[in-house]
Amino acid sequence: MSTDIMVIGGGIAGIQASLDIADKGGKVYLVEKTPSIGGRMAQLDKTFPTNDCSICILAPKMADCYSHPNIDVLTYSEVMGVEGEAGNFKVKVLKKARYVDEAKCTGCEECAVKCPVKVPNEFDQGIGERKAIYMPFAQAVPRVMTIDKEHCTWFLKEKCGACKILCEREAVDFDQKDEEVVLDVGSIIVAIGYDLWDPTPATEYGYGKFPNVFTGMEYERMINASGPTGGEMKRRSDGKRPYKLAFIQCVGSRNPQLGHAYCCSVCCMFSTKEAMLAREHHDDIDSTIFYKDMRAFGKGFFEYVERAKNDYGVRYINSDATVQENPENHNPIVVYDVAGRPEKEEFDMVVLATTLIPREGAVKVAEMIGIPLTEFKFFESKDRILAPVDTAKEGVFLAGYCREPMDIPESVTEGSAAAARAVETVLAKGVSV
Amino acid sequence: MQEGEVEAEQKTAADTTFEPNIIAFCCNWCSYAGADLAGVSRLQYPPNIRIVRVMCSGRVEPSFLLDALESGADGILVTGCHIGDCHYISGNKKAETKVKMVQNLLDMLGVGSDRLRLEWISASEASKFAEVMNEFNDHITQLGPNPLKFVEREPPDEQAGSPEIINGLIQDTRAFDCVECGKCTSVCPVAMVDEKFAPRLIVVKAQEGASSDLAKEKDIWTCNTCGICSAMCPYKVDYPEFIRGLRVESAMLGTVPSCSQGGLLQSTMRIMANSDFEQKRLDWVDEDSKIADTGDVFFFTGCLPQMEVIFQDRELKMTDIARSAVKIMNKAGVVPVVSNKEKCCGHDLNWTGDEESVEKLMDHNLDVIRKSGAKTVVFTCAECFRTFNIDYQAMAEEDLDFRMLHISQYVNELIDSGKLKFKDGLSRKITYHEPCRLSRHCGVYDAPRDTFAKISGIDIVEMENIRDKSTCCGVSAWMNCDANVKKSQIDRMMEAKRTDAEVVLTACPKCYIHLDCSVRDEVPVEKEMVDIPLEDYTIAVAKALED
Repeated sequence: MSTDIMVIGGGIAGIQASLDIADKGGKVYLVEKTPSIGGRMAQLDKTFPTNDCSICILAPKMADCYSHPNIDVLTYSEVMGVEGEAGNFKVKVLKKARYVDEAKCTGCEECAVKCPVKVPNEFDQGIGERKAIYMPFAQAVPRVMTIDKEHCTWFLKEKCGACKILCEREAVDFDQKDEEVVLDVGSIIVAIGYDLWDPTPATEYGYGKFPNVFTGMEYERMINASGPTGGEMKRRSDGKRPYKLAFIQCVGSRNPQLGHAYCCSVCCMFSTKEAMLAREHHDDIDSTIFYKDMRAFGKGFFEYVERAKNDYGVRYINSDATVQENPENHNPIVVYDVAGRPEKEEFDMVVLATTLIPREGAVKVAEMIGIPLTEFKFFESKDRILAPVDTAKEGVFLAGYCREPMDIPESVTEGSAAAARAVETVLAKGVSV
Repeated sequence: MQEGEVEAEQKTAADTTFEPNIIAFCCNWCSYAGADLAGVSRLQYPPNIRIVRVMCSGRVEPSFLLDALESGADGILVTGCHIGDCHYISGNKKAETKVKMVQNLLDMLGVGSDRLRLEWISASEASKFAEVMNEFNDHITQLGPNPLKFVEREPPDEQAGSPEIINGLIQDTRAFDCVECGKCTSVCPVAMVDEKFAPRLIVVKAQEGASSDLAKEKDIWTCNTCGICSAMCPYKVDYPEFIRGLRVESAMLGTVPSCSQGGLLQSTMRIMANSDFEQKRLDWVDEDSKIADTGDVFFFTGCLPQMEVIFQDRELKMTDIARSAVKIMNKAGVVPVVSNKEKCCGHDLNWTGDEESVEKLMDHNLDVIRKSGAKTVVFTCAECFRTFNIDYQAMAEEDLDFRMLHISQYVNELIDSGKLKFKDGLSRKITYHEPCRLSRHCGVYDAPRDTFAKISGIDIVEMENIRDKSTCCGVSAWMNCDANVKKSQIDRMMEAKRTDAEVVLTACPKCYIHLDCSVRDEVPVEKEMVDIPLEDYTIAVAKALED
């Protein structure tokens, strides 16, 4: 029997769940696959409908989480197997070697300055570059470097070692090994979030073919002040800033043809936000949003859209659209439908509100734990209406986008809900927390 | 019926009551004046000859002639000024070409060319006029009645296109799911050039209030059913099928679609559907081509023999495709069944609302294939391939018990099993134009491309719009060929030229004909911009074969 609780996924839902449990006195293992907690919210520039700086409101929670005495944050770690039942799960966790001693590293990033290997930065959607030894992003928690074995010269050719030579605290350790631990927990919360859908297969949008077509997340990283371009919007073709922006909604979502019949639930709002932010960056920018239906359903959402229209001059056009390109200047040409007429308009940049899909690893996680998935590979609730965060398996709970499409406040709510349910489970097993 | 009996019956018919219906097209300046003179000169000629005055014999379209036969005429005369006397310089020469073409076509169909005659009669030749009329009347009386089964055109069906039927169609084709996003319009190649057409509006109209008005909508005949819209539609609305269904209703309401060549091609197909003649389809088979009556593999030639006749003035050599297909199979040690009894698959009738004739053609073709004992049917035409794979499969009461392969799929099989060898030292840069029926309708995108990946020395360079998004040859089912369509065809040819390939290949004879037509004469752009030869896939593969 164990009263500890495992949270899988260090995004905002997982962080919230961990904090709630830990504050009640419960012991939490927070397992995160990447080198830092923070998840998708850390990548966003602002949040709707308040236009708060995303990382500014998230970073304190990340820090709280990491420094909480009741939370054991296992970053760069993956769950490999789950056995047992509510009150008595045995979870096998692989702690991948980051080749940097977590206790010694201060995150001064001196090593990264000298590292000769440049790799596209996945946190910035590949727009900027990072080194083979890297900090995933400026506000990463824990502030510890990680060596990317795939690209590091030491691991590829047994040469270099600049980081090791340079590190005054002798934190770099090439001999570190992956470590497998088995943790006893009474309950598990799954909060693994979502993947971004790659729109290349939907050729009608020209992503990957036309340089000035971007995804929403790429745009989000570009306009972020701490992003790869320092907050400047830059066209891929010539590096110039755009004057006319087009945002296309429902790219891949509400599209049974592509296998995602569901509404991603956030793209109406985040495109509205992105269009507003464009205006905040440059007064002379014109934004147009092409939408199928405007689903501004949450509190203050409709007003948010009205504000975009009235105060920010964002143009809304009710039509799906496809993209062509003017070969002379690489300007994307958006083709859309006005009362049954195809209209063409040239823009400087197109931003695609690509759909968000369940994590690739969701199937594996579901199999390991033994919980069912819905037809779209989201985790299935025990009861969608009355027990949304419960699963078919006792003691296993869900939180956030991995359960169904939702925005940040809803994910936070679910994190808390799942925390409460998990604590109830371990209490019900006859042990007080 | 035995031959003797036929003769006997014709004789009795001739002896007793048979009075042939003869249509004579007379040109205004010579032959009609000749008829006039015959009248005032009180020369006798049979009263059962109906004269249709035309300004010039050149005005007599091939479709008029087939239409007359279909409508029950027993014999047709086309008369005009003597060569050199034409009041429009060369109209009679055109008439000569056209009549000769139709005669060849009638021979091929088995109707027989002797029911159609061309005569030159001047305004002063009253006696020749009467003589020709008398002689032709006797000739037709001898031949007996027009053997075409005359199909009464059904009166308009008031019930067609009823809200129930339209609603059913909306459900079946998932048009019900349309969220009016307009993506279809943004990718539609017709909407791009034709400012009156928009796919979204038709679906929206259907949803707003299904009524027979929809079946009367002109736009349902403008769509070229290429299926780009469906390929892009988030909700998988089967737009081509939706349009096809509406056309069936529209045709039942009495709409006559306006087809290119005046509907000649559709006439040919209807004649095939409603007759049972001994055809002459196999003239193209040369001594090098080995074919059989029975066997495992059936090569369905489709309209290639007709097309060669109909487009003989363009020297398209359509049957080269058929010969190439047989050559490929022979090289691989396969002797395909090629049947003289085969008829048109009915694709074009199916897409112009005449399901009834398609069913007749299907029954006939399936019977021919079954009797051949074939287990595999190979098509060189994307339209035949679609019609068999989708329409026959849906209409036939049982499962079709043979494999249906496009020639590209079959060629790949033969290459994979090591039966085909190709020349060394080939060096060709090609680009590939996607036929809509093969790709979006049937999902065969890769087979033709794979073939060239397997042949060393042939490199494929892709155009800008390919696969799901590839634009169209512009015409389907011989409909809606107009200035707008020409524009999109020229765009496509320019796109092909821009790839710098030596040749653009298609895997459908219809794409070949339509694209060829678009650049044959004057083009609205610099000639160099569209100057790239066209070739059929099958011919290209046959050319690359080892000798």
